[in-house]
Amino acid sequence: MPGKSVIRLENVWKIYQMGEVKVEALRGLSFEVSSGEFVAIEGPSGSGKSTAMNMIGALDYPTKGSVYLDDHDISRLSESQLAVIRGRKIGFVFQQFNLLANLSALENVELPMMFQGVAVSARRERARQLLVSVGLGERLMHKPSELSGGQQQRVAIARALSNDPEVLLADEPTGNIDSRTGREIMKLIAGLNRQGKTVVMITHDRSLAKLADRIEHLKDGRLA
Amino acid sequence: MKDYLLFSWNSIRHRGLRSWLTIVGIVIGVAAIVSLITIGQGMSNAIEEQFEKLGIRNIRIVPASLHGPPTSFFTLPNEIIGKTEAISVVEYVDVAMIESGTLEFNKEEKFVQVWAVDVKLADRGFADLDVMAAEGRLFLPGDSGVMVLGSTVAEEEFDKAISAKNNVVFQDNKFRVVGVFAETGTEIDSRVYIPLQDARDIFNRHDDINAMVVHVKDGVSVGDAQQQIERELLRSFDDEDFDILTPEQILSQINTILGAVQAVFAGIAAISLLVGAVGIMNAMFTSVLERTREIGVMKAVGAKNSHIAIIFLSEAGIMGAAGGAIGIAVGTALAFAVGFAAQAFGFPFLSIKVDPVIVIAALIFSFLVGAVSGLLPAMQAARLKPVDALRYE
Repeated sequence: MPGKSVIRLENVWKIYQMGEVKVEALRGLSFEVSSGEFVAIEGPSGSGKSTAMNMIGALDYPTKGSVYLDDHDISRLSESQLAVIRGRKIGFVFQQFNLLANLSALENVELPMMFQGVAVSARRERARQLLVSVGLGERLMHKPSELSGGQQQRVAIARALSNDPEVLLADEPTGNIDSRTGREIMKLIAGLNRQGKTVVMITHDRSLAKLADRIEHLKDGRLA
Repeated sequence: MKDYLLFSWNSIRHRGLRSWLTIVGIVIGVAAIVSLITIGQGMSNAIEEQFEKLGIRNIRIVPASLHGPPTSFFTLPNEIIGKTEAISVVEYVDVAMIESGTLEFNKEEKFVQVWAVDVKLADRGFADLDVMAAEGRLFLPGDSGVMVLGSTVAEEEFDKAISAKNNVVFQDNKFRVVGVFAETGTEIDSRVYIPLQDARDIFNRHDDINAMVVHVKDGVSVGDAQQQIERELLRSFDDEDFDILTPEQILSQINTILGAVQAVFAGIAAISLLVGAVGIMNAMFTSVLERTREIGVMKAVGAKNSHIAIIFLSEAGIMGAAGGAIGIAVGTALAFAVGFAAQAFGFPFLSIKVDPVIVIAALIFSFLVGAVSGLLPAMQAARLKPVDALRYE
């Protein structure tokens, strides 16, 4: 039951200039994610996974080709327009959690809403609800250093959901946690997908990729 | 905006000691500037107060080339007294000879400044200065061998206080103390007054004096009087012999000198503020570097370049303003401490007041110093590419 196209990459090239050498990280990558899908992008290291994630997540510009989000070409937008898109339409979940160490769990979840100008009382309430929904209702005021890896990743997932994005973009979400906790995190992500959230997961782990509706294999900068 | 200030405040607090050290740099600079300016203004306040006490309607005739208070080194010829008294706008003229010498009382000797005045006119002159006797009397016509003491000389200078009717020895001449001035808070307190004729005999100076105060007739403007006196006196004297000063001129002369001194001091203090500003800049660059990854995360979750810039700018601004606020408090306290110390040591030229203009200006200025110091680091942070920042270890 795939719906409308949410993300579409058309013949995307990314070429890095490393001193004298040109590195072609993406070589004409094309693929599409539809609304409500759970897509895993799987591939060995060096296959261009991270670069692909940067393109999907509006973190970087392609050298050639186009990236469409909701059928809008975002590959020529300004940096601040991209920032707005990242804030509203994409929720990142990183391998390293990437929580801000000075902020409590609650404040970390509030952060993306702060950048969208949501009023304090509204965003605090939403952050609290989200943390409750990922099972951290008792840990609102804890700093990341006071939380386990699995708990930190739950905070990160709550943060990713805070502006109710179109796409949850997860980059090796279980890479830094033990396998039992990892399974719980995957359950959480799969559950979000069942509730209708579009999920794109990047991983080198075939067993994780199997949880997705669709697996795309990336090799040498394009789909295999 | 409040969100971002809170956010910045949070990260300043998080860096604890390092933030404080950065702030101390600004505290020192601002405290130095505020205390020096406040002390400078205190001097100028005190001098103005003194001038008000000394009478605004009086014109001083002083030896030419004299740019400070009158001393015994520069003199006016005696003839100038009569010539001045003859001018129509002049009510009367007080003259003074200034000398210094040894005052002996109760087997103690002290070096004092002595002002010798015409006893015939002394009553009016002292009344004009608003000076009264706290004890005994002031001079009477025909007085000789008598002395009136400033309150400090009478009460503090000697182990045993001198009172009216005590006998003292000044430069080997016996004097009878007839009175003690009420405290004035001016230089008068530390002077000794004797009759002019006695001074002429003791110091063997019969041809000159050191200062004249011309009391202008009521209804004549001080400026007009000054011009007329100058015109008349130039007929008999060379313009290298005397200068005519109105109180405003004296005040503006002193204020010019004070202003220059103040500017030099403030300039030196500004250097320390500059060092503080460099400290903030350094701390902010370090902070940007340390938080590169954090910046990447914030950008990934929707922070625009401007958001990042605001966060770092307000961080620097808050440190500047915090340093400024503490610096103002420290600087003001320092100025008051110097004021009290000056009073305690009998130096009356300091009247310290808190000037709200200085306080507010210093606060705004230190915030700006902080923000400007944070400008380059904030721009560096804002320009980081999200991908690079996220990859930073």
